[in-house]
Amino acid sequence: MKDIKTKLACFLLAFTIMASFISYDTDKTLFALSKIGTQSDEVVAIQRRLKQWGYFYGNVDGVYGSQTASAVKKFQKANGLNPDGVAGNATLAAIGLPTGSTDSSNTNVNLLAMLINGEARGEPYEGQVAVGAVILNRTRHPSFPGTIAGVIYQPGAFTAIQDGQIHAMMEANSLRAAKDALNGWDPSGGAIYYYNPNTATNKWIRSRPIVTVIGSHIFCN
Amino acid sequence: MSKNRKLFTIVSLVLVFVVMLSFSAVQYSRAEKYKTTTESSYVRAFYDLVQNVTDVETSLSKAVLASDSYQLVKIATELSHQSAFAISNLGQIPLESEPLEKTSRFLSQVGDFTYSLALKHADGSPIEESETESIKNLQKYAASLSEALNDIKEKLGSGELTFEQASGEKLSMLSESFNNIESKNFNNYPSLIYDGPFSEHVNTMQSIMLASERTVSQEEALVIAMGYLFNNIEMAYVGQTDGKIPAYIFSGDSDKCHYYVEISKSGGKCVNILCSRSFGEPTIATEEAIAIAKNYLAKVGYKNMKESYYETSGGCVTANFAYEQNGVVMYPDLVKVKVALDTGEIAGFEAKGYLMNHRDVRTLSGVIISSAEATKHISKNFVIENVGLAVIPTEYGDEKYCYEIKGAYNNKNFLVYVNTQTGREEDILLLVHSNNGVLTI
Repeated sequence: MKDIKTKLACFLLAFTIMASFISYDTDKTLFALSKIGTQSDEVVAIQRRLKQWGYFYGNVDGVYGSQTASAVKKFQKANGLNPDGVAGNATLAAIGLPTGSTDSSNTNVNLLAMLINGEARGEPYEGQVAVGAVILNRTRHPSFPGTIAGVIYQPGAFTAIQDGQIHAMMEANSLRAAKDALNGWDPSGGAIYYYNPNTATNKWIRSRPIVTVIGSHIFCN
Repeated sequence: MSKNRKLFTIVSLVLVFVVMLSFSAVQYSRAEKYKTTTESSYVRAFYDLVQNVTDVETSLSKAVLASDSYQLVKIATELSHQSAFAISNLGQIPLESEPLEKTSRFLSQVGDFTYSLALKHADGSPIEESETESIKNLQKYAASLSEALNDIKEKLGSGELTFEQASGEKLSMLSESFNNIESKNFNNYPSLIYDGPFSEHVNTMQSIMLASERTVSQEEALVIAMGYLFNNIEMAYVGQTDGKIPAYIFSGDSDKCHYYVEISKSGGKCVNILCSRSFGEPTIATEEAIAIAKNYLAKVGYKNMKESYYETSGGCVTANFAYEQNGVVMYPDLVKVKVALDTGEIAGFEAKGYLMNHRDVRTLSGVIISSAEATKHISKNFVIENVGLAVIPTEYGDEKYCYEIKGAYNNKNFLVYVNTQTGREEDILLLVHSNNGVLTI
């Protein structure tokens, strides 16, 4: 009898190992919702789609009024969603809009925040803003791709992309740092590279002229 | 009984083994599929790059022959697209070597440089011989890059090179090939100076305002830093920065906030302040916060600052102010002040624009084009609300003295900038009014 138990345990163990192979995604981020009274680019996009599909007859003006709310309700009913008239993540996804930042017209805030979060979590705040600033400095530099996504996803450019840290649980600091960097704060002093002297293996990067040191990162040109 | 047990053991072990095996087979084939997909995207990026560079070379060879700006504008537009695609594709190829600085710089500058020439000769002036020489020179670089890339393409085709990443210290053969292009083909790539954002001079510009100021000591800078914070926070020297504006760095903590302050070595001006804390529910209105920001600027010695756009996010307002000289708004002299909406405290300050560009008095040439002439050519459906005067920065560190014409078109608000000297429309900005603030795009 004891042996059967051991074997059962073996089975269970094997299945646990297998189950752990299966990856799963979770959505952890929370954002402001489009609801009555909101005025933003996202509302414009919602109105445009709903108008195309015949749910909305008003003007596409970016103001979430009662007309927009009832159009959203109609859409939600027709699509089996909870008809609360608020364009939450499920509704946005059904409309085919990105679920995310309604906080700013700039959708790059999130991507930048994710990279800062993955690369400089635990660094002093100025170090986080500086990492964001390096990304933005690169987009304006002739030797790098011209867009935030282009710079961040350049193969081998950032370890947070390789080890998946970019998907780590978002800290509020990272989002604030991304905003400050996009608003022009640059504690990196215009740097286009940074590295951690304790972990960097690349000899070339150590030969670059140093601009400043913040926390465990050296920023250089 | 014991036989049954044995059988059971064997059967269950075999079963576990089979399940594991089939599972790893599934995993393996999935991994293979992913590998193929990634490799295909690398191959696509590389083949596109080869095509882009070939196109760049062709366009440049046409540009050498272009005799008027009309033709040059057409070619420059083509080149801008081609080089932007090339840069983007180059950025997708997995290279674990050092960045291909010169190769990318060449690709960035090709379109940018030709475009600046086209704009320069938009008035019909003939293209100079030295300019044609520069284009010829760029074409040579394009040709040799194209040849080198085609060589790699053949090697990829024959299997001599792969996109497989190298492990450990050694570089992959593909990375080596690209390094060779960088060191051989672009060894003597010249520094190009012209009116464009990727021109060499843009990165080496110095502050006009701070150039003649005296150097302050670290002790003096500390006193200045504390003066910018006003709430008696104990600050300490933590280091320095050798960026565009060399500065001392101080930091300090209040009970709820960590402060970071940079004070320029020459002149002892505050370059920026960062404050990190979470911001609570707003207790003051946006207008109030902007008034606080304005008040703060006056206290720290900024005079004649005009409020321009602002943005509210994450419990703070970031307000922009520009220097005003006799009613002309100097947009290059920009200062940003961030105010926390929960306590009304200053939560950030940024003055790089102001410190890099400010002069107390700019000598502006008299306007040649009247405001009536300036507004005459703007679309009829554009409803003009207000016409002012402003100096706007260009992407290459230059300034232009313009009429700032605010108006609405198709329910959208725009700012149109018309040069007071030439009557040329220099820029059009879209003004976005929303709950989050007023922004220009």
